[in-house]
Amino acid sequence: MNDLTFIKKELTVLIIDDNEQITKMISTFLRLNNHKCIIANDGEYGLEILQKEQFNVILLDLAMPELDGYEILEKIRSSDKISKIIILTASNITKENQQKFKEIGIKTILQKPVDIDVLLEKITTISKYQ
Amino acid sequence: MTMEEVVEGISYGTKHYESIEKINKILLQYGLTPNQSKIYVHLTKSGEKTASELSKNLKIPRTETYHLLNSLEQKGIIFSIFGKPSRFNSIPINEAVTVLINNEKKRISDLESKKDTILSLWNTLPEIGKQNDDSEDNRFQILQGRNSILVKIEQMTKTANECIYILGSETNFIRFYHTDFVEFLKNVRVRLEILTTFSEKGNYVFEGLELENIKRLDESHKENFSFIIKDDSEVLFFINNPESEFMAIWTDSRSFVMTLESLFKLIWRKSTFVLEKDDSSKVENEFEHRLREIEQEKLILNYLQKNFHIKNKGIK
Repeated sequence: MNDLTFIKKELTVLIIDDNEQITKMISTFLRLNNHKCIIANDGEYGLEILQKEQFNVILLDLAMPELDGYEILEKIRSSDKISKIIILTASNITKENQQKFKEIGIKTILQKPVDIDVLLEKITTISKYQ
Repeated sequence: MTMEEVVEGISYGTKHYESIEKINKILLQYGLTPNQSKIYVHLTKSGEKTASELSKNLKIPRTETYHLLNSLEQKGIIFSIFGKPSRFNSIPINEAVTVLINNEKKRISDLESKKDTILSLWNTLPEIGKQNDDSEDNRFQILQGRNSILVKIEQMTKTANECIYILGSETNFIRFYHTDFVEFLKNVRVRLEILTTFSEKGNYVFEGLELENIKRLDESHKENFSFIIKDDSEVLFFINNPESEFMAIWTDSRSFVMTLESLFKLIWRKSTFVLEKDDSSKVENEFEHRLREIEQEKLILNYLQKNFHIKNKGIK
């Protein structure tokens, strides 16, 4: 079994993604790895909960109806929460946008499908910076 | 007399004829006359010569040759070597081009410095039976050549109070590539709307502009016309004639401006922003997007099954 599968520190992860299937799966996977998970299946709820509560890591999808990931990033770009974000999206990300994300302080951008070990490793890495 | 003898007096061979012609043509743009250019090219390629040798080789009358040598010396791109008779030689082409550019820059700077003088002198002159200028007459200007058209575009973009509308194929605007055209548009502080073909090959013409201001011009319009409208008051209409120099008509004719503005707005309403994908690529993107998500779901499920021995149905 992978060394990363069970890690000691319990993390609180917020998943903002309109795909209910995926959010449920990721949340199951993270809970089985002893982490807490909060799910937001739309951008507005995601932003609301993101601003109210504290999380170790935020998994953010970009393409969502109504309030999308780009708008959420725009609204929280000056907050320290930006460094906790991992972009996890099935959309194509242009080089220009990748550059913009880096400029505002996002360290990890993942395009689906992502190997689940890689995802866990990135979550752990982001949480270590805090 | 062969072609190469006419051009250079000595033989460079016919294969260089075109290059020499092109060089001469370019040197004209740097402020040389055709005969000055011939002398400079001849001296640079054949080495020092007397005035009489140059006159003979290039078939230019001797008096004119002296005159031309004198003017080239004043421009700083040739020099004389004292002797009896005096001999002449040229500075290398890269230095000569720099000298000619600097001469032109100085000339422009002199012109700028004289602007205030001419304006203050102008204001001292009385009007002589001048009619009222505030008439409603429609004014027209025919502009020829890229530079004069560019100056007009600069004026229009700088003085716009409400909007600048631009319609045309990229092929028209490519003529302004390497000029300040895009800079003028970037500095527009009013509403800017551009309707253009925006092809993958040619869209570099608008590089640096906000794509939110650009809509895609339908293929059926692309060859027909190009124009720029400023507010409700002026229009610059490009004339596409491959046979002649780049031309445009500027006018403040109200009816002309209104007609083109209505046309622009009509096409603008029906067009889509360049940032928007057309339907087929939208569907394709959505398909790819969904496919990646399914792949992601599969990966998580496999992982869960492998590591925790749970069943798919337990997850949903």
